[in-house]
Amino acid sequence: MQATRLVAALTMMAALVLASTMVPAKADRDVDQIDAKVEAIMAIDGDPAYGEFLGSECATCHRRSAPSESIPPISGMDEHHFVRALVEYREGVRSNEVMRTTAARLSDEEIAALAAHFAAREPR
Amino acid sequence: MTTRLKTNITRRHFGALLGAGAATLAMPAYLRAQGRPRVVVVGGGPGGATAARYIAKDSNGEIDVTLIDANESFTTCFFSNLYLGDFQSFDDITHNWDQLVANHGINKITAYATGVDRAAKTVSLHNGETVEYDRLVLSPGIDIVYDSVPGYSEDVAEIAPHAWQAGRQTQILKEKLDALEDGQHIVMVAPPNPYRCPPGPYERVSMFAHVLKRKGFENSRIYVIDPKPSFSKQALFEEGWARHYPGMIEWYGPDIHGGIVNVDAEAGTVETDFDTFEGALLNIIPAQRAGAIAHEAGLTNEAGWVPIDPFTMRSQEDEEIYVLGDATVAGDMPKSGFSANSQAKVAAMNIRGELTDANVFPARYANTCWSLIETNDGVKVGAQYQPTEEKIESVSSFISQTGESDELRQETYEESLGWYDGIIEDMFS
Repeated sequence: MQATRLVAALTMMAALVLASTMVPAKADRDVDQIDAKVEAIMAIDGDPAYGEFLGSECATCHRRSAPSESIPPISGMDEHHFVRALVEYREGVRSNEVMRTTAARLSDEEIAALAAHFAAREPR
Repeated sequence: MTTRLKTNITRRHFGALLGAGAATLAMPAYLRAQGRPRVVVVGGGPGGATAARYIAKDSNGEIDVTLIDANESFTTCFFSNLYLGDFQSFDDITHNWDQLVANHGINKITAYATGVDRAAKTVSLHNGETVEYDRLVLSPGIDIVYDSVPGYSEDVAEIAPHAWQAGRQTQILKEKLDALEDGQHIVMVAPPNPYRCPPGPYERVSMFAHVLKRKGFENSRIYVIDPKPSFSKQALFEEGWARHYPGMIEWYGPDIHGGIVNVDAEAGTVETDFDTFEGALLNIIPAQRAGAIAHEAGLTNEAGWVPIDPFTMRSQEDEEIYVLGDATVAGDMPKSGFSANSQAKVAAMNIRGELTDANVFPARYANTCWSLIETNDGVKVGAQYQPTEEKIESVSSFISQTGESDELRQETYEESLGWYDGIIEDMFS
């Protein structure tokens, strides 16, 4: 009896873990909470040198010259827009798995650094 | 044997001697004479070209960068399947380093690098010349282990191409594909792990099927003989093949075929323990190992790949040599152009940190691999990575899902087009 209940519990746990990793959870966040997070990051003094290094990863897809239809340009992007976009990807509000995974590992400081770097970077 | 001639000629004369279209170097000659630290990069692909570019571009002229590649142009292996499928032309996927030279003062040498003298810190070229380095970057890609498939050889590859190095091999494969008639079959021998571009063979199968389907062929089959029991994005490919190319593709894992006995390219047969498969087009993709110069330099392990330091991309055998891309043991990162480009930026940063007073930040890596199954039906897999003491480790990953909307699949394909333009700019501009 105990063994089957344990197996059932473990199976359910495994199913839950599997479900949560297989399908990204759609975060149901207040707009207020996102706003607050964006403002908090805007208040950080982003390090543009660090942003330049982090941003080299972005350059491959978000290239500097002629933007592609599917991948938006980010050079010269307004800092507020930039921070908001990454926060929304990080919170799961925006879809696109590449951006979600990228944003998920960015700390607030890193987002600030990237925003500072790209805002100052002129599109070619 | 080549004689190792260590010459005193300056690099500007060097280029002229080779007749390598010695492009006007952006750096004045006097700066070159002044003993700037020298970085030599072997291999002008997504690893090497990116490394050369970032070192030159971000060092404000403080570092002398030389890029050595055996060819005058570079055909990307990534997207070469799309050329097979008529989604890209050969010209679309072929590029050169002229802009790189013009924009960043990089010295491009067109020559085959045959070896490295690590004590003397020189690279030797096929013509007997040597090039000195303070730091060396090797990004030589893969070599094909021809005899890993019984009956296969470099000669046989002229009629049964692998096309796992892009360029002439891809064109041979394309010619043979386009020459097929209805009722003629294709036999692919897929490679064993580890190999360049995990989903690549299956995207290629999809492109073969696309071409045959467009022509209205009903009697041709594509047989895949796979040494692997499973493959990258398998559920997605199988869903796509069933949907778009029902009955056309037959995949055989090792449990069924029991191993390859012999490939007879003249007869057009692949004999396995289970059965003999016959095709007018044989696409044999053997096992692989790091490009030859990595072995020549004494940097490879027993399996034939180069172990690297996950935090910097330095080779574990020699701190002054960085190795990038397919040639490396890169932990959880797949062998892909995207990975090589990502690793190149970490290496470039570390090299600049060593040779100048540039900042060095903690390494981070990323990869995304896109595959096209049919027109506007694209899938992807990818991850973010960080270095650990043990290896480069995946921190989060994603993969397309079966049953996704057509709209999302089209977006995914279009995203890959944006990425391609981006990485080409990141490598060659």
